Amino acid sequence: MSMNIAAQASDVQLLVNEARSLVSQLYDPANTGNPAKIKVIQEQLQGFQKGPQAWLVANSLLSEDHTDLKFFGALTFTVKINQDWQQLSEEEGQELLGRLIDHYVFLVNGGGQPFVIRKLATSLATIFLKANSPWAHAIWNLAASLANGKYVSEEQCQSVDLQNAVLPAMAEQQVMALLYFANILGEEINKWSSESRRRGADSDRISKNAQDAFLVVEFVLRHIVQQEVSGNPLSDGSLGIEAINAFHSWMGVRSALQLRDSIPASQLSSTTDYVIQSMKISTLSKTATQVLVELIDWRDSISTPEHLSAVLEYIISDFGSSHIAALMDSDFDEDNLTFLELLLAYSTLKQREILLQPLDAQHEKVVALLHMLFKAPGYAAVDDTASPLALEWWTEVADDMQEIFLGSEEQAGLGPAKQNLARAAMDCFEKLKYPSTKELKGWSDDDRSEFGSFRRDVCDFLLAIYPMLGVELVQVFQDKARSSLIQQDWATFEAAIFCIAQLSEAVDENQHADECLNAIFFCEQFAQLCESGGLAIPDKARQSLVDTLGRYQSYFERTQSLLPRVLTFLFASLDIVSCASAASKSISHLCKSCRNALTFELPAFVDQFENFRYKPTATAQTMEKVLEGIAAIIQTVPADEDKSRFLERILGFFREQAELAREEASQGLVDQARSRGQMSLRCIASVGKGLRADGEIVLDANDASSADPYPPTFWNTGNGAASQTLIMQCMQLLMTDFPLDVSIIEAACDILKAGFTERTGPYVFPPMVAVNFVKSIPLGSAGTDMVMATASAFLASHSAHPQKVREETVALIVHVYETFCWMHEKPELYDPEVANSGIDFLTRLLPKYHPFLFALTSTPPGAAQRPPVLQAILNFTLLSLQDSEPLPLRSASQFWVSVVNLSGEAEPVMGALNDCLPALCRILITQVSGRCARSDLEHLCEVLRRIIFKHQGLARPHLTAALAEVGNEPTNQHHHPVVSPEEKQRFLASLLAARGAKSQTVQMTRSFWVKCRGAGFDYTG
Amino acid sequence: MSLCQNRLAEERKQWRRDHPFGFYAKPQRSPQGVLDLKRWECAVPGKANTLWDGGLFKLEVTFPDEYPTKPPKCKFVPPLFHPNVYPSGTVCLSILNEEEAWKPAITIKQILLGIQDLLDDPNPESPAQAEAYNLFKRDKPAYEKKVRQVVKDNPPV
Repeated sequence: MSMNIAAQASDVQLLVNEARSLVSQLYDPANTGNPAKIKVIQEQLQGFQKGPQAWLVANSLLSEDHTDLKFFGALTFTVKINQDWQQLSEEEGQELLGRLIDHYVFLVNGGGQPFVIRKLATSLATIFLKANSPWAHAIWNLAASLANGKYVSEEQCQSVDLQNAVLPAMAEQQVMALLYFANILGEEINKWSSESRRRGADSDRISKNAQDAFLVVEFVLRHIVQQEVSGNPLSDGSLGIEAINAFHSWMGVRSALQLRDSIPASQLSSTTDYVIQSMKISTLSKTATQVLVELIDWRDSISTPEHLSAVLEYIISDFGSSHIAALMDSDFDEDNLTFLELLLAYSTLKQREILLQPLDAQHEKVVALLHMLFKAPGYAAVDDTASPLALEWWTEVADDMQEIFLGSEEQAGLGPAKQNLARAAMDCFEKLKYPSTKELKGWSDDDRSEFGSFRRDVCDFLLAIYPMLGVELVQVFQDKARSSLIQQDWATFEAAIFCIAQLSEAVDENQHADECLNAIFFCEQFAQLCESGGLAIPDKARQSLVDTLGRYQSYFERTQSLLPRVLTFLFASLDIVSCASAASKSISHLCKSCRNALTFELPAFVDQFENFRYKPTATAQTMEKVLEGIAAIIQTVPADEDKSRFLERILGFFREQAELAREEASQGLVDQARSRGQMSLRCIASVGKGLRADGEIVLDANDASSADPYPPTFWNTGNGAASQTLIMQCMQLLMTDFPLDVSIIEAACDILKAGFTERTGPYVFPPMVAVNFVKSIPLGSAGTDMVMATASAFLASHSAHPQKVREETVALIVHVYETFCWMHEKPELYDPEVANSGIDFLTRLLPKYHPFLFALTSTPPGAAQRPPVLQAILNFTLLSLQDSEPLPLRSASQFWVSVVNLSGEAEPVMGALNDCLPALCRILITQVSGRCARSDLEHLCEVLRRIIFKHQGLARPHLTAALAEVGNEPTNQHHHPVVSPEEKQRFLASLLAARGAKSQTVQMTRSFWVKCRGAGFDYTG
Repeated sequence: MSLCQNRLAEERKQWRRDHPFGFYAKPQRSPQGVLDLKRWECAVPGKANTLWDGGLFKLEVTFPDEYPTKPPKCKFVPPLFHPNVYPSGTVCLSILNEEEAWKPAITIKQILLGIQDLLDDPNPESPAQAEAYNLFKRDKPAYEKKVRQVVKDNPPV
């Protein structure tokens, strides 16, 4: 670089002129609407900033009068320093620094704009942070230069004392400019602190500047506080704010660079004092408070007991009171919320003292404030922003107290804590009350969601304090619920019942709160409410009550005498849109878990259902829940004759609906028909689900007693057959010549599955029904995977006696075979879903039914031109191992894993595997040699490692041959790199050595795959 | 406290300070009220103006002892109809895979936002359940209909 301006003046002047014109165009308001033009200008300017003459251009622009040009000059220095600093010699660096400081002094003394001064401060800070920066005492040096009116070298300024000579000599604007720099330097060091930490050598230089920065801050704040005390306050807070911010950023530096030893807390004590006192100066209060909140949060040793008591004094002083009063007056301005944060930060630091020890008068006031925070007017999180913060504080306290509570035997000392927590629960209870419908209309979705989230946080708080407060807590809400019920104060009732619902997980199972619950649910007013169907209660309160009833299943199981009234209320609530879904779920829960106590109520419930089913709220979702519950009660009716009467009543309705759906379909109302059809089938399926015997579903695997898989019973040959016929008719009406869709198929599958776990009943159909159902679904319908899963469930239900369903099993296998043949013969029919679900089905039947599959070595009658069943199936699954679709590939891998596992036990399986092994090895090796997708690897590896584990000897020659072929095939279209024969050998040897160990096999295969693909496919860190 | 617990306590603090709108995430409590920092209850809302808009989907996020070296497991409860959600409810997403894009610096917020993105932008390259994947690939109208139903079944609380 050369700063010899004269020699290059003319060239540079041209550039400067151009830059000047570009900058003025950049800021020309006429161009603001033209982003394309702005972009071009910016690009040109960036070219200047990085060009060889940028030093000179920047220097020149900084001397201009116009602010925009000065700013751009300063910016150019920053850019250029960052880019070219390393190319400067030591002298050049020194010269640049001197020149920039001169500019700085000139700018400040000339009354330059703060944003330009700050920009130039950034350039200076950039120099400071450079690795071989010539600048040590940056703050001191800049201060001395400012005071001197021009650049003073560092050596010269060593002789003048910063605190006693330099700072007192500076004008206010100079001090301000010094603080700008101190602030920016601190922030930049913080930004780069991780890097600076690596360059340990710099910490000494930074530490010296930190000391100077704190000195400047102390000097400024002392002056401001003295002026304030003497009744001559500074009119403008900006100097103080800048000083406090500088304090903040250098505290950050002190902590990030671990300078606590070189700058001990004692040295900062008076500065901290001044910051605390600044909270009382209105212009500085918010900034000072924010900084102190952070210091307290850091738990920095900087806050000595004296400082903390000064903070405490401030909190309970008139200043604090006025902030609290403002909050109570709905003034949630930042000033007041910042004070609130200070209160909470201080209280967190002292929380154990506050809650566990006898309180002095000052801390009593603090506790009073903490409770008062819930008293601000308005809805929490919507109008009132204080309550959520207070709640968060109390929840953290509860968690901390709980740790003490659970960890110690001695609980006597927890008395005050418990009292305070209970009081806080009562405080926030008021905040839980839901707005009226009218108020709610004025709320946005965000408001609702925020309020909902506040209520959820309250639940969390309640659950946190329950272990310490126990049933007393429930009792409080019980009292509120009961008295508000009597007075029909629904908002209070809703909030109380909401709290009780939230506590259900803590008390429902044990019987701790039964008496409290009795006090509510046995009271006369509750009985009246239920009997009237809840006429008086508004929707929101009803909704919360419905939810509560569903959450106390165990209580109602213990207290069955309440069930009739509760269920009557729930049935009535089905008509209310906002409650229907919750009510139907609660009905389902209660009917199922208390089914034995409700047999007597069944006729009334069926009547209620018949009443409900025409209501607008009777959707597939609500009806299926209600029916599942009712069916569970039907299951408890002792006589089959009675059971079938109820069932016929219910099923008859859906048969009508199915016919209606067909009619709609024939009129072209396809959507309507589908949703009615789907509703009917889903409801019938849920009746089947409800009818299942209580308790866990057990597939009796050892039952081989009866010879007939489908013995005659009341339900298939007696009077119960009418119910079964109704179900079959519905299926027929909706499954044949009907516009099927996936949800109809799903519901039909559910109907079939409902009977698979039962021995007898209306849903237990002749075995061929399941087979015919599977065969009736047209190839290519969505939902094939569900159909095949149903076929598997059918086989699973007969797995105790495979022989009895041999015919059906073979029919299902042949069905799958046919779909495979079709897809093989007509590739345009290929459907990955059919392939995948067929292979999955075969995999699932292997353990119990493999003898049937492996015996199918001939072609089925009428398909002479096709290959034998087993051969076609094995071929298809082999081909699927190289499918480009991920699912068939995975299910085929699974299939082959099962086959290999079985091969040791079953002779026919071993025979088939022997035939397939060459092809299987070839396909696997080709795939893992970079052909398959990365996500396929783990699935293919599974087959590979099973083969190596079980049949290493047999497989070895095939694997060797297959590996030799890798890279030779003419279809190496992806131009993968060719791996050397040695690498292949190494791969095979290590595979064999791993003997099928999972993680090793996967790892080796993965690296081989990457090698074959080229390193670009490796994941990078 | 272990690294895992420390980090989770910090995550909890950060989440309270700043979390995306409509989401929630908090450590679970046992019936005895004790916090378990390693198991979180979370919920992700469907993005506005997408098929999933209006639904709130609950997740259980479980952190291993090795967290944050290893990623947490995210599981929709109940399992969600979605091509990249396993039948068990576990989410299949690159940033949740130790061998793919997991990095210890990824926060709970980023994870949940990532899952929200995934909802409307499934990755057909790594299907996790056949049902949603097949419908997504072959019958978009039926897929969309089913998603709308799923959204209806998962209203915001």
